[in-house]
Amino acid sequence: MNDEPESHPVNRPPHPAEWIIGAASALGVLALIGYLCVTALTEADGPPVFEVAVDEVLAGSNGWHARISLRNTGDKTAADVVLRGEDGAGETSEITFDYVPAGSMRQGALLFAREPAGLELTVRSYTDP
Amino acid sequence: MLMTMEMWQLAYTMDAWRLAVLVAVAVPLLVGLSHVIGIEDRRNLADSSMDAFFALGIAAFTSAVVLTMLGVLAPGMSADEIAGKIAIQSVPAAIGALLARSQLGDADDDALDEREETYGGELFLMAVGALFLGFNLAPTEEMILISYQMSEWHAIALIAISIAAMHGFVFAVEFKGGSELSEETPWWSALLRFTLPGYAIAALISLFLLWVFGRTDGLGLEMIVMAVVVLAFPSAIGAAAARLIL
Repeated sequence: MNDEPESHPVNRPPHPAEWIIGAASALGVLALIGYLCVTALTEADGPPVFEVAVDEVLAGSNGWHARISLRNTGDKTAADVVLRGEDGAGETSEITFDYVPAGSMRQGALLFAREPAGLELTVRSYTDP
Repeated sequence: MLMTMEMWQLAYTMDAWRLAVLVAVAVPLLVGLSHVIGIEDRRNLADSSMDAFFALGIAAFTSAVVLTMLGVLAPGMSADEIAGKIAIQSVPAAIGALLARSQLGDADDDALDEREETYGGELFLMAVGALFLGFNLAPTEEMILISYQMSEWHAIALIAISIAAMHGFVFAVEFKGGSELSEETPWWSALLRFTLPGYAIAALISLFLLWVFGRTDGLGLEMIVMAVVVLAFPSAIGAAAARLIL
């Protein structure tokens, strides 16, 4: 921080650094607006697109934890996303994600009493935020 | 902020090392703030540092007392949780403590009125204002929820309004007098030298706060940008108001 005393700040001509910082900031703000314009124009107008994957299955003290990740590759954010998992033996488990934003990923776990084999994951419902 | 639920939850949802980064950033900022608003004739680093740590200590003590009184701190909580809850409140509380002293303290001792206004000092004050107001809002669920509800066009309009509001404050500072801006300064000069850098600072501080509070985790680039634009609105107002008030 520059603390040099300036006796007449009102009449002081702007330091060149002020213009450089100003120009850099202006470029940054323009880039921000430009980025938003580009994403707005290229955005598809469809519903959220979900991709689910089982990351790993762990044995916990209170059953088996199937760690899952849910990715929304669409351009719309989904809220209260209900994901259901059913293993080969017919045992089901459910999880609700508060928000799955566009282009983002959320993780969680489904619990099963026995080791889940042949796990099938389906997204059952969501709301618009 | 002591009465905001998200601030208590952050104590156990937030990474310990992000909390450490926050405190590490806050300490030099408090030293700088106490230097800028400190008492003129004893402006040296040692005194400013002492003031900053004193403010931090008072803030931690006050936070501990108030949180206990509100039942947020209770027996049976882990030491980690209690320390986290106090630490996270202490940062804004310490900024508040320093600002309160500069506003409410003895006017004769106040260096602010005759404070030399340097460009760096002005940008620094804007950063403090953005951090103070942004800190109040960054942890809340609403910031993220709003960014989900908005389209990109809404975001662009919000950027324009944030910058326009900031520019209004820049002119208010000019009327208050003692500012760098003389009568002949064209409007675009102030826009380029104060308003836009101020907005850039507010946006960067918003990004930092969202990251510290874990709000950017797992988010795509587009959603991070949207959340930053949402939080930059109050932060920008805070940044501009800081120059007017201080």
